[in-house]
Amino acid sequence: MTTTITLPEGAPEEVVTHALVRDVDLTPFGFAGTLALITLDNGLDHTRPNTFGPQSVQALDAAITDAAARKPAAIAITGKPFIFAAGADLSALAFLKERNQALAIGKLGHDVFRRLDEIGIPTFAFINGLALGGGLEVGLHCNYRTLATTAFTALPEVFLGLVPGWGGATILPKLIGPERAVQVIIHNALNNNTMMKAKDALALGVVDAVYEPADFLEKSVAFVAAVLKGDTKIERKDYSSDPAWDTALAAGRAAALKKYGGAEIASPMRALELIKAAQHNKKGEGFDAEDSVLADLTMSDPLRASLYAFNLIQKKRKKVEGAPKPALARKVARVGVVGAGLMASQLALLLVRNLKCPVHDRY
Amino acid sequence: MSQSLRTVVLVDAVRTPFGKAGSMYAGTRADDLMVRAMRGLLERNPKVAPDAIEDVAIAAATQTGDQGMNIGRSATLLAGLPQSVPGYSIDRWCAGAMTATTTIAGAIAMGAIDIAIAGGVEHMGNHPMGELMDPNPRYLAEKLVEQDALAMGATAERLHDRFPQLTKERADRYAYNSQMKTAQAYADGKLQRDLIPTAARNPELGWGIATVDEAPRPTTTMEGLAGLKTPFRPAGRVTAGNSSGLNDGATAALLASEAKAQELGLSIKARLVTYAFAGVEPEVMGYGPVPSTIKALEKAGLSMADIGAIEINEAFAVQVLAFLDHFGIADDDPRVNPYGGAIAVGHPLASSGVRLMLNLARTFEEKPDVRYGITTMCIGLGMGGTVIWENPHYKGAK
Repeated sequence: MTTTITLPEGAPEEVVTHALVRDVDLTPFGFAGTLALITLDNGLDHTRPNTFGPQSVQALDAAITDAAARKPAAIAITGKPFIFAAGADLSALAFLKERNQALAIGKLGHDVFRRLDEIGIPTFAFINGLALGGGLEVGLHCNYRTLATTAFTALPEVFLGLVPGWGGATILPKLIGPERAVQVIIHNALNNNTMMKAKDALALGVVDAVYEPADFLEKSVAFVAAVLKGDTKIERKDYSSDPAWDTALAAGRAAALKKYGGAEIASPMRALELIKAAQHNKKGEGFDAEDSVLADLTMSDPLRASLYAFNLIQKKRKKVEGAPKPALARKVARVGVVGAGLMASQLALLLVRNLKCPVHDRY
Repeated sequence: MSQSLRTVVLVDAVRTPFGKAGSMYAGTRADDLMVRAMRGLLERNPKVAPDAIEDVAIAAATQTGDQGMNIGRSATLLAGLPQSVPGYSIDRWCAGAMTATTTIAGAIAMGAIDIAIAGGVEHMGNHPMGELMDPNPRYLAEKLVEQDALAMGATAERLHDRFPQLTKERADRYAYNSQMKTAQAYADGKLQRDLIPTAARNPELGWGIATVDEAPRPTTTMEGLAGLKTPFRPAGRVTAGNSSGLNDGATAALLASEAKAQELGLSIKARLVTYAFAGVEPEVMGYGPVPSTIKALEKAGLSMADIGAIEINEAFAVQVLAFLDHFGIADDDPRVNPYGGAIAVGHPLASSGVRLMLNLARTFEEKPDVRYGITTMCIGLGMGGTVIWENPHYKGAK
């Protein structure tokens, strides 16, 4: 890798997700050889999930190089406790000034992630916890995926005004076919960012096996050994001549138009273009197209507005700026609400749910 | 209900690989180790429906933090067993898992339950020996025990004092042989059979999987052992080399009434004959296995001549030698710890009782000419425990 990316001026410092490599002996699992296991870990607890900013992507790049140099029988990637990866680090996006910078970020992700498919060693993603957007896309570049039964996965990019531009929009349609890819990339995202439960991801073919979290890693390593030995065979279908392409794309388009009152919003439309192209293109062509779409959208006003709104309702909702410390609050043991309208009853409901004390709604 | 006693059998037993205290399991919780052993055990015995487990007894010598919260019940829930399966915790220090086994066996024998799990865990990295211990000042004020009684290494020195024929050279030789036997057992793939690969995360190194014991030192030499420090007494005899180490690990055993095991078509690896615990002077706690074994043999109507296989916990080499000397058994008798013992693989306190059982079960498989075997261990504050087992594969005359 020669690409180096510096954060734009004003952007917050990146919380780097480190990529640690260790050998796992596959002998006790019935295969003579080793697995190079990469752990993604930003060193913080689950409340600050792993994310991919430029340094994190470069750390993964170095880990893949390290892993391959160990001459393993397979390479796998997993996350820190409860978290695989929550996707691209969005905090710097709003500070990008030039399209070239945005293009470079997209290309960096592709250049690194695609190595997992092109390295010539079987690769596995052990998705042990939350995997969103770029987090799930890392897994999609791998040859095989296992998923913890309690883990949620999604490609929420279209919900945010982006597209799954680190491989998702190209790989997913080829992997699971147009109908299911449109379901995950368009319908789920527009449906208030619906995440897949593990059983949904398995049924859709997004992952190959699902294991309980208590021994997820051990079971996933056993899965690697079974695949390497040939005891477990995962069939991949070629969807290029699937008859459902046109109807799936049309349904996705209709859903997007309906969602936005007939307006052609760029992110779902561009995502549908990328999905459509995946019917016949080579992966690399798809990745190049993703880079270009990602750069266009990143520099657009709608995305900036969307990121601002996302920040407001997601991050700032949890930690209200300027609010007094919770320790200063008086203990509330009983609440009265006067009013009979929708607002009063909703307030009463909120109060009873959050304060867990008797609430009297009088009118 | 019937008041006649029922025969109790060992269906299967497993363990996690043992780590050096705070090393390969430094980032792993004790309850997660216990859960892994339990899930590995059940995975190996698919004929046992999880809701058929009627009780779970788990031992830990320090029952706080990740070994607290009633580890027996907590590990049962964390292992994903149905909520209808109860669990409880056991403590008899080093003989925790042994006591979990005998307590569960008692319940099976009297007909209260048919099938249950007994096990033990100790994460000595998370819970250093003596953690939060608060000995009553009366112990010393009233000379209830001697000052050495609470330092296990000192009790081992006292055992050397009491039996001058148990020299440091003999202890080192015994320790060397234990290392060599374990190395041979590993080379022959014998110990690996009952190890459950266990995920272990190190925050600096990432996730890994423990597949073998961390503590064995196959390159041990007599010269090396001779040169080690004697931390418990100047010019003493007890060293890190002729003692078990400080370790992290968990064990789990499946016990059932023989009738239930046959009904479900389960393996029967050993049949419990009887057991005994006995107390000795706390300052020579290592002598405990002698009176407990005498008592158990008497109860069974057997003598040491009937015992063809011995799994004795090697807390200290001198304590094993005291036992062997008492019964007139040679230091290198092939009946004793054929796969080596705690001096090599380690001794995560409350878990070791089941490790002895799974080793004995393997010996039973390999030696159908052996009818009876024992598992025995010394226990801090002056006790010993002994369980007598019958070999279900025995082919000789009865």
